[in-house]
Amino acid sequence: MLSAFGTGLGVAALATVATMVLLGRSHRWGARRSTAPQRVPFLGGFEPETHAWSRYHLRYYPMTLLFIAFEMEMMFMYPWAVVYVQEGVKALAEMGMFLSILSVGVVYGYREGVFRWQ
Amino acid sequence: MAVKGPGFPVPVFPASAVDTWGDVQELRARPEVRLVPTPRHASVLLVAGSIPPEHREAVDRVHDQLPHPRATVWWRTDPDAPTRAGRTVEGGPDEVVEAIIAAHLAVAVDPEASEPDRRPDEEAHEWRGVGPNGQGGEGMMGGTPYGRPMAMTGDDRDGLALDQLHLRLGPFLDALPAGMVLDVTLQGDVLQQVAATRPGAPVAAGTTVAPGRQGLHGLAHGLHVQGLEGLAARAAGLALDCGRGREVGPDLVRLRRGIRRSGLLWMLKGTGVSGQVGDAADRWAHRLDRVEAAVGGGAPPESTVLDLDDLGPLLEGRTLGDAITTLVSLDLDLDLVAQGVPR
Repeated sequence: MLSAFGTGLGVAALATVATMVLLGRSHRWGARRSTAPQRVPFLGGFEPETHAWSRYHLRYYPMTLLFIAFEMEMMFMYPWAVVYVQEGVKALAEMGMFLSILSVGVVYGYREGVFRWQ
Repeated sequence: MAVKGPGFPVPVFPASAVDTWGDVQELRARPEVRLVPTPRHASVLLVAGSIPPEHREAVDRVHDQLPHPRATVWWRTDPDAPTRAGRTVEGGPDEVVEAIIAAHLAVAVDPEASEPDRRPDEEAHEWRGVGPNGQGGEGMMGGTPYGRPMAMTGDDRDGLALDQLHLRLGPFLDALPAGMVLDVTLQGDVLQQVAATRPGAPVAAGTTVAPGRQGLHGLAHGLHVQGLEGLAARAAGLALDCGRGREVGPDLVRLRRGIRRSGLLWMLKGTGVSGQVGDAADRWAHRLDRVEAAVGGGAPPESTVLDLDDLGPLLEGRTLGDAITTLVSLDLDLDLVAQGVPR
């Protein structure tokens, strides 16, 4: 028991030392670092005039919302299908409520133009 | 000379001036080299033609962006330009491909022979930022990290008030026509302002390039930008054959069939609609007609040549991808046909 623990401790110590050495020396051993001109984004010969950190339009965002609306529906419908026969009308009503809530999301997506290909 | 093995085809980044741009496009037909879209992918920098003085610094900048080991081949460059390291070639495509392979092999065998930087290895502007992320301003607004101002908001097409990013694209950007520089203001991927410039092409009156061959150069480039590399290589091959005085009519018909089957014209329908010249699909069909007529020796049908100043209004409000697609569907190189390119 003790010897197994000792082995584990030894491996952990060895791994720690190896990691420390690799981390410490990676700067020297690693591939040559990129130079300042190489870190500049390539625009065809000129340098960028503004910093690249900017907000942009995430065009797929409404599409992801729509995906989540349909995906949550399916997540609930699988277990629902298993118990539907036992539960009967009660389960049907519950699913109707759930779907009507989710369809609000789909209607919202429709208003945002998700279904319009641009 | 067909060379097989690791490192082949040689990845080449072309920085070509207006006068040699067409000849560089013909290299797409050569199996020994592969023209890559950014210097990061390249092993050899091919500087072709008379680079105008205002773009020489851009050549040096692009050179330093190539990873080691790297080499430069100068093809028909201006003899007055300041001399730099690399091989110089004056001949045709065979000679330049040979020089590229020799340069590639030389630095592959001896990485120490890789060319050093031409510009100092220091940031263009020092880091002066303050604030939580060093950006110099408050939150995500303002400040000048690395001397570059942060993009600031402005009104835009979609009413989102996104940040305005000012970029100067070209003159060696793969997707743009020869020597073109686009000053653009981007909000997201929508072009809000576009100003196209092109240095006065140092084209001396001399022997003319056949308009058919010229058209095939544009065709090869356009097909490449649209991602149809195989068809681009075939168009470049036809341009090479044209230069050697071979009959290319039947092959051009086959190429045209290939383009039709690729679905390119179908995909371009409704893209880049402009009042006088229809959409990009119309322009491609028209261009194919014209190339076919020129190769056959007939009089090419009339075409609308756009002035560079008209490009701005045509491209503004489009997304970047749409704008590039529109740009390569236009015929902007026709002035070169009239003036001729010196050999």
